[in-house]
Amino acid sequence: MSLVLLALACTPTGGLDSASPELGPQAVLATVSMDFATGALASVSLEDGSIQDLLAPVSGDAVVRTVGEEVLVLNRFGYDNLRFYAPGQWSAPRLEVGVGDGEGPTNPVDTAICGEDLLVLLYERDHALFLSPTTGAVTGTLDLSPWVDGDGQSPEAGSIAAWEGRLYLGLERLDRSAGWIDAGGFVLEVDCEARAITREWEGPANTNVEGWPEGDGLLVRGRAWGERAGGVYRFDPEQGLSPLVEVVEGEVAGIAAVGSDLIYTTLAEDNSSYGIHCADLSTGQSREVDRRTEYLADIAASPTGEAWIAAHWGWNDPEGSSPGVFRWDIASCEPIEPDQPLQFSLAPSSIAFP
Amino acid sequence: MLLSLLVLLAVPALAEEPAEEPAEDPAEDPAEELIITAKAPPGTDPGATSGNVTVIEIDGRQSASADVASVLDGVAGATVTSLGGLGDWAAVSIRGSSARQVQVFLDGVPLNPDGGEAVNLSELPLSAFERVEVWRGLAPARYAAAPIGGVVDLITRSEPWTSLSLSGGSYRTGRLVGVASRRGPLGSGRLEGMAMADLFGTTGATRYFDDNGTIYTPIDDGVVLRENNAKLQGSGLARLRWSRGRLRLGVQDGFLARDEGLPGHIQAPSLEARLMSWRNLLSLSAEGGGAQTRIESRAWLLQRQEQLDDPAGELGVASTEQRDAFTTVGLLGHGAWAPLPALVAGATLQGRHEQYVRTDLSSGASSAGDDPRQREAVSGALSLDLRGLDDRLLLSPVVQALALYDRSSLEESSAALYGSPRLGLALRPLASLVAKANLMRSVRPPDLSELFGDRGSMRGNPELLPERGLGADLGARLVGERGAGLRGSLDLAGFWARTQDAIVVVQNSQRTSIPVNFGLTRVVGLEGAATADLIDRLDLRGALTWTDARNLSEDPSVNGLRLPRIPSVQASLESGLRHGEQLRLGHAWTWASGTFQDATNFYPLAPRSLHSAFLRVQPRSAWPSAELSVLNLADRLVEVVPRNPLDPADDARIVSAITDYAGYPLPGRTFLLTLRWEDRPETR
Repeated sequence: MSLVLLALACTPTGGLDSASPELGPQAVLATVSMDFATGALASVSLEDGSIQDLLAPVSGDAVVRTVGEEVLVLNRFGYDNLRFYAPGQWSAPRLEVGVGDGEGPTNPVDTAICGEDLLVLLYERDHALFLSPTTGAVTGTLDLSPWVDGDGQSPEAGSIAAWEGRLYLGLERLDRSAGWIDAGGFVLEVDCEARAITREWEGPANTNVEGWPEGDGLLVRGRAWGERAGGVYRFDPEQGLSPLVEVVEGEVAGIAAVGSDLIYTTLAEDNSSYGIHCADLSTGQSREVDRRTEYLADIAASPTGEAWIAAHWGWNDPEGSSPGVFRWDIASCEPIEPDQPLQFSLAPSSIAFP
Repeated sequence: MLLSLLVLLAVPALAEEPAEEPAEDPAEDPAEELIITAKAPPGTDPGATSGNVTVIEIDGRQSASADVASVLDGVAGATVTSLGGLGDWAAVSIRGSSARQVQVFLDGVPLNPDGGEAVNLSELPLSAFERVEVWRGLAPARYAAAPIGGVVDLITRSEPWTSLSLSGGSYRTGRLVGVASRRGPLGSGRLEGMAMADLFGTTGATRYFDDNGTIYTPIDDGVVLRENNAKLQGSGLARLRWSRGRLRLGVQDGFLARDEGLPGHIQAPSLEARLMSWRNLLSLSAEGGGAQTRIESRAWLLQRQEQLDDPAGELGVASTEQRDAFTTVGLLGHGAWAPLPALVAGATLQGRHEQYVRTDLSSGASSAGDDPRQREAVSGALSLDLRGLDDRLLLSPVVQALALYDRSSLEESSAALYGSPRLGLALRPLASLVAKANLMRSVRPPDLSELFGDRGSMRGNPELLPERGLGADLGARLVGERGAGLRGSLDLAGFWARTQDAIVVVQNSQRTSIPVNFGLTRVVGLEGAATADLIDRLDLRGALTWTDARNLSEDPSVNGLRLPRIPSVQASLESGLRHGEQLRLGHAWTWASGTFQDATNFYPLAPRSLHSAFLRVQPRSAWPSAELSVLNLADRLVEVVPRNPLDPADDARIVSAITDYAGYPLPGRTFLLTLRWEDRPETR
């Protein structure tokens, strides 16, 4: 396995902002054009709702994450790099790291701090990378080849979440050679000191792990597979996966949760629309509160207890689509200014709260 | 292909025609003259039609390294975009259209009927053609087509000619071309045969600038070689025509076999993916008529097969082994009747059956059985050529309709009827000056994949409307001649076009997308072309185009922005200096103003100036000629663009590879040496 790695500290030059004033709490979003060819970063102040748009170019289908106080942009779609930004200093990243290896796309999809380094999931590979967040140097790899599915290419490690000092990966496992059909799913535990997978749990198809603020464990979502129903699960390493919400029709596309309150989105079986649902885990009640034809690309829980839902143009009614961010109060399950979604020059596709 | 082999054997056996038959004198039959003028063959004389047409004679003015793409690149109103260099995929757009909105014909047979796909110009060997006609906007009714951009018609050689050429050069590029064409008596008529064989190969290992996808990290930049870009292509064309008086019968077969690596995007290169293509076009033609009538008919069978092998899923989707097979059977009839000296009425009827089969080679699943994708198309046109004012005025209305019946399975089908009327006007106040005006409606129907999906991530949309265009142009043509020392022409035109319901693909989940009618564009422009031949020693061809192509879609992120890859100004100048047949020095220069890579106009493409040149010598007529050609003389690999195009305060610049499409760099300096032996009655 060859790794062509470029890991060099990059001191921003030209256009560097002078010492930025305190920015206050904000959301940082990756926005993308309808054709997914271009993208740009945007930010929203959580204090006054002001929007700053077109801050820096990103690839189509970019993902934003936070690492410490920095914003990390994972560029895909032929660019395969990571850029570290200090919030407010968007003219140039502090560090830019290429994660391509010269053998087709690597498609970095998620990342989190693992020990002293960053663990970067590569959707197109049977391994993940450990990178130094200071220099960008590759410091190791995490072998995922034992979990490769029927296509022999990649277990499609698509999500990562931290809990009690360890990282947990969600493996989507889609057999591409058979038309991307489900091939089960796994949750893997990563020991960041040993840099090894220490435990595994079989999950639903298309397993994705999510953080759970004020929750007891992590959340896992997926489709029905074997004896596992599709829906939302609670996960902890002692008890494994415990079903919370069962979804029979369609699949869970994303979750935003605070404690026992959940807002989750589901994609219809025919891919034509998304449902927005509220669930109270203390009572076990779940209900659909809205249905939209936009492509709901992401959902994230804000520090203020809101679910931010990124809506892109949908093909069912592109002219009637309202691309933007729709907000819901998670605890009360009430929409926040439903007629006034947060709108940007492009459509939001990924949300992070540094 | 069997026919081609038979013709290759038969052609050398044809005797040279001992003496020319006395030409028919059209003056003896005014109606015949009118028919000839209206047909001429239609479009050959740009001054005899209201349409804006550029006729490019393939006659030795071009370098041996020229291909169809480079020939079209110098045409006013045309924009050629490519994924690389010699042999790489290239397509043409006209007047701001998309590549699929331009229909390409081979001797009147459509290679991409109704814009079902964009034709890859690099597959078409230039040596097979004697001329290329580019119709901008309005196309004659005889094509039974109403494309939004225009028509490119490639006309194969017909004059007696024998040629053998061998080329070699950069990137281990090699080409071997043989052409033989003869005429001779057969029975009471005359038989003409032509055969051409072309073998082309290249490693495609062009140099390009690689920033490794890290624009803020220049230390990892470098110039590297393109990998997995080799091509091997064999093609041939064979034709037999028999004529007697006005009757002409013909059979023609053209085949192509091509094996190429697919290098992919430079930031995600593919080392193993390959594409193998095979195409065969068999056509039969019959032409005839009387004093006041002319009838042309054509039948064809076009088969094309493409096999994509991407075992490692390097192209970014999945491990793929699939074969796509396209079959088209068509029949066209065109009749012209001149009951009066000032009137020629025409009727054209075309019927077509198309079938598309995709086979997943890894699983064996095929759409042939339970899920056929088929289309029946019938198009008809009625046209008139009305002349008045002592033959100074030509009015050409056309009424055309296209009926389509598409089906994927017993439950999925789509039927539609589209009309595309056109009106052309030509006024000749002087013998050397003709003014033209045209108004046209055009259409590009959705193709079978857009209607019924590609059986992958793109779902079908049987409710799709066609892309519809409305266009107009106003222009003039001036020709001049002063003795034998100076000949020239000047063509000017202003154009306007609006396309609605443009089909765009919209994603709705991680793994599905669907085409919808969402696009709206508007294009205005001016185009000019000039030619000059001076004392048979110097020839000049120039073109200048200004285009303002705008996206008027309701998508606010692109509304009002420029359409990508359509430069606002394009200029070209081709010059040739010759001394008889012994020496020819040629130069070509193209310049394009900056444009954008993307619909959101984030990423600018810098203005581009490229020079190419060739020197051909042939000290004695019995010797072969030797030619050295150099493309991209200045070896331009990079352009300088803003590092952060979204921040006006950031004046930092970065170096980026020169591309037409992001991730697919154009090559640097390319050398080619060609030896050619040819024998023809008349050479330039």
